[in-house]
Amino acid sequence: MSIQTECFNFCKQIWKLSYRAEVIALIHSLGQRSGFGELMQNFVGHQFLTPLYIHYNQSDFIDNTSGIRLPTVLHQLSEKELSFLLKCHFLLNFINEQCVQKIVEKFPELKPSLNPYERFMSLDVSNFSINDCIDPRMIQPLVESFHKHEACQKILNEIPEDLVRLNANVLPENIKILFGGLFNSIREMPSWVRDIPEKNTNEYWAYCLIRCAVCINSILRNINQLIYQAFLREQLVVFNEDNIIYIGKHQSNFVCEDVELTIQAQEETIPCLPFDIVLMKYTSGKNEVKTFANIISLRFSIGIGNQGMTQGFDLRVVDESLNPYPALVSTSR
Amino acid sequence: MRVRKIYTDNPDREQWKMLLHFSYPESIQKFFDSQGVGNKNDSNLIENICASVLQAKEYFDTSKIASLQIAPVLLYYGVTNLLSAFASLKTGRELGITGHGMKIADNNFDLTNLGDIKVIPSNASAGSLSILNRSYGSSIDICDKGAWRLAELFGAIPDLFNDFITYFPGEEPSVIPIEEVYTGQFYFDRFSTDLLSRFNDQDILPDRVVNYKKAYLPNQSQSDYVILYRRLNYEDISTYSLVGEKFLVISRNKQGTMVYLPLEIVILMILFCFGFLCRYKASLWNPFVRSDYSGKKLLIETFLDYSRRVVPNLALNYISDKRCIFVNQVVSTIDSSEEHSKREIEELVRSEVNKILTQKNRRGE
Repeated sequence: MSIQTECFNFCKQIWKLSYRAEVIALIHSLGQRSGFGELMQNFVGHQFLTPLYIHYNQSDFIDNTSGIRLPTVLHQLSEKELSFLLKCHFLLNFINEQCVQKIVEKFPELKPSLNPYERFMSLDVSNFSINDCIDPRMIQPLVESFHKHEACQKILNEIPEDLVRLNANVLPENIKILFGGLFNSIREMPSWVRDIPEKNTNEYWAYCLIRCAVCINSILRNINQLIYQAFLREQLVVFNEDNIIYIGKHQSNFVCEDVELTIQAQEETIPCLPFDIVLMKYTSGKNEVKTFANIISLRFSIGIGNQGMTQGFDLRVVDESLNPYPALVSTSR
Repeated sequence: MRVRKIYTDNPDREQWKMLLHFSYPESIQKFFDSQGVGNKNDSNLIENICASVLQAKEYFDTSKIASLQIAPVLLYYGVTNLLSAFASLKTGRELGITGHGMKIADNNFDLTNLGDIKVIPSNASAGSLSILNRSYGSSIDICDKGAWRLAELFGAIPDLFNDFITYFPGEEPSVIPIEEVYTGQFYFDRFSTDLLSRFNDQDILPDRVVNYKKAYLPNQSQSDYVILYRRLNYEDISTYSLVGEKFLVISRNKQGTMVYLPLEIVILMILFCFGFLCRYKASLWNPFVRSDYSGKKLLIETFLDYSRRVVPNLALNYISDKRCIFVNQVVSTIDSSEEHSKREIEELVRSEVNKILTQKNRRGE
């Protein structure tokens, strides 16, 4: 089964966790707390690591010019709260490590590029055990489906082990570029995405490795995000014919497929943030669209000039492996 | 319904020219062939259609020069002939009409209180009203829905919306005007919140707006406007005035069912009522025509003028399945080469700036 299917199956196990209700209450209460609420909006996409990052890096939030702490009061996390967050983060990080373990054994230099958490912040969670979080057998189908993914298979079975040692900085930088602004046309893409080197050369294999690493990093980020969303909610946000007003640009470039859409703002604001995974399900003309996507950015338009309230979204489509960049693997053949 | 623009400096003459096309048997035969309906050898049916169209034209023309003493009767016969001719043409069969299919409620008529005069549909199987009501798209059995007050009927005419507000204060309209707005990205519709005060129960959305859910998402209420965002697969559910003003159709509760009538039928019922009054209640009609104080006479004249213009247009819409708009303007070439929205221009500029920045970055500048 696909990574997406296995991930959804795993999410159903999350719903059954005895400590889930406490996690929901904690995350919601953090959103209400002075300091955390605002800061968590600025560090989206890192799941349980976001509040932990804020907690452990409070000095980062001091305005150097005025010396005033921003925000002025940052509530401390209690030991119990810290323990919950660390436990949940441990679970997600454990899945990531299980997924990339074999690849890291083959290419240790890739480690910081594969696990999305490595670049953001590493925490010592060695005192936790997976058995404290969930029955480890529940994770296996997801990990196995991940190992079958084309990007993993390519790295494990095709790319030569004696490939020239990579500069450890190159991969993270490239991944940063890909997650940064992204490109509207092929001309804007960096050469490592655009230009395919001559086959079976070192350059060619390095090129394949970078592309596969980007995919793996992205897939893991989406797995983490889906599981995080499963902790908090039992339904994905759905953009469909009951809320979409307008579909703007729907464009594919060399690496990804982006959609811009506008929905009618609801009485209750749709609970989503950048990096959230949403479902797009609608019929446009004769085309039936049913696909998952990451929120890249969102805008809220209040009813100025009697125009009503709308929410605008830039979305990046993910495939059934939760990969937003499937072309990076498919063109590395 | 798709729009068909017809360029002319005289809409009335042009529309009748198009209608009179069907006063010739060969045109009807060709129409039957093209639509796969009727029997082109059924000369009785074909001659009936030809005669009805020609008689309708005569009635319409005569009603223009007649005074208010008989003009409503003439126009009623003109409209009933025209509507039945085109219903027969479209279906390719005789309609089997044996009477008007409506009567006027027997009460003390007070022409200064015009809105309270009632039209009662009758004879569901062979009455002209019931048969034409079905032919022109209504799925209700009009005879089951009780009497219709003239005020209710006037409230369903888009072009007379302002007259309705003036002459029937306190009455609920059956159409409300809406504005189409373009944001630069998409269209939406809105109407003034003031209009809601015309309704006893202001909660008319979405249930009372006919086919609302085919067109719009749940409405948003702003201070001055009710905002109607269109669904992704928007269907135009509006009705339009002759000059293209857009209206929502509001259903009415008749005998426990929310119903609305096709505009052709609304006009037919009002004309029948006025025709009945001038023909059978002359003792009331004559003094009203001679010395009306209330201004209702002006309303009736306005309505007759409007009917003469709109009914042939509605017949054309019906037979062509298009909304025929007669425009008096010089035909010009559509130049789409230079049409860029503000948003498109922004995109072009952004793309060019990005290109320059990318090149500079590559050169290390």
